[in-house]
Amino acid sequence: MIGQRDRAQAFTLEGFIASIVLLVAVLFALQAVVIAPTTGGLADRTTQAQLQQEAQDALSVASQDSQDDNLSATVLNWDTDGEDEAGFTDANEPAAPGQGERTYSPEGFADQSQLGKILEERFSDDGWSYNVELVYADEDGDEFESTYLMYQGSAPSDAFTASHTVTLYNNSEMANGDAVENDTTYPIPETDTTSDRIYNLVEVRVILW
Amino acid sequence: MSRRHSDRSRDRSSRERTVSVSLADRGQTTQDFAVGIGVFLLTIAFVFTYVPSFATPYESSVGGAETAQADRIADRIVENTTDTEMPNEIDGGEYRDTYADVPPSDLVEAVGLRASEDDDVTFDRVNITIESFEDGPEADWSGGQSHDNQTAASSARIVTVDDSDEPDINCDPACRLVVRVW
Repeated sequence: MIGQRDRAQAFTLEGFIASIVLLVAVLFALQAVVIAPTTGGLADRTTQAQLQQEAQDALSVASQDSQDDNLSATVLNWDTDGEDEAGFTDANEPAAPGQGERTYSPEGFADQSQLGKILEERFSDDGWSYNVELVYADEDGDEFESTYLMYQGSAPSDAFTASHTVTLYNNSEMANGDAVENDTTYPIPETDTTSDRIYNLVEVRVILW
Repeated sequence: MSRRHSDRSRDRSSRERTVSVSLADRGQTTQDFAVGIGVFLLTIAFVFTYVPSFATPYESSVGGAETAQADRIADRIVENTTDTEMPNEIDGGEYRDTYADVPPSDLVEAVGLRASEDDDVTFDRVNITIESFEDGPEADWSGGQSHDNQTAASSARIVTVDDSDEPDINCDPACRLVVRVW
């Protein structure tokens, strides 16, 4: 009889305890995983793939021959006549770490090249950052070196790249009118090839984040 | 009187014992059980309704299939209306004849949409637009169903347009070809 009376609050207590166990389990599960906008996976991967496609398209459009500030003209936009030491025309930003050539700001690059205009209107105006890197073979042709046309900082690990290769010929004209093979200040050297007409191959690489 | 009282109280107590014996045994278990199970069920209901909503803001109603389809259509348009000499330069006349200047039902075959047998009911809706960087979307260069901010999978390509003898579009430095599928 006394034992029966002791049951008075047992069900309520049991209900509360079960609820607490359940809530603690949910809380624990929420603490254990990080829910970020990219957790679903789909959104992040598709936007990334699309932006990469657009960057690739930007390079393709910029390489069209009809433009007089197309990609190869941009690579050869070397100025030795200015007041400063030789560098890319009107590039006023400091060089990237470990590099000798001055770089462009997004606006400066847009003034100088088709690629810069597209990148600025599509990406810079929407808050994206990007580096434009030129990768080329060294004099012996067995290693690659690079210099930056634009440098906005070290790219994070989730950045993506698009690239387009431009061929420079020995008689390609630079912005100052000289043939590229006659200029000693130009950072891209003549590489060792089997052809005596080809000067070097330059990969224009856009790194976007 | 006192005797009557004691008689009555004895009577009542003996009667009480017979009447309420089961209530006294069970204490308040009926109400107790109701409260206990109520609290528990409320918690279960709360957990089941609340937990899925944690992930909701990050879920999209657009599936991978639509995204892939938009990608494929954009790719196909760029592929089919460009000649090999100029990468990503769309032939304006061909683009408008095939995609923009036609009724939406003609796009069923042009871009491969799911539709009923005689093409009058389409199950996928598509909108194809060329947007100028400077001036935004151009009605003359837009085809398919009209898109009014519905949730849609989209895919974009950067192109230029060869627009001789076509309505003007300002593609300097470039335009965006945007395909939406929903």
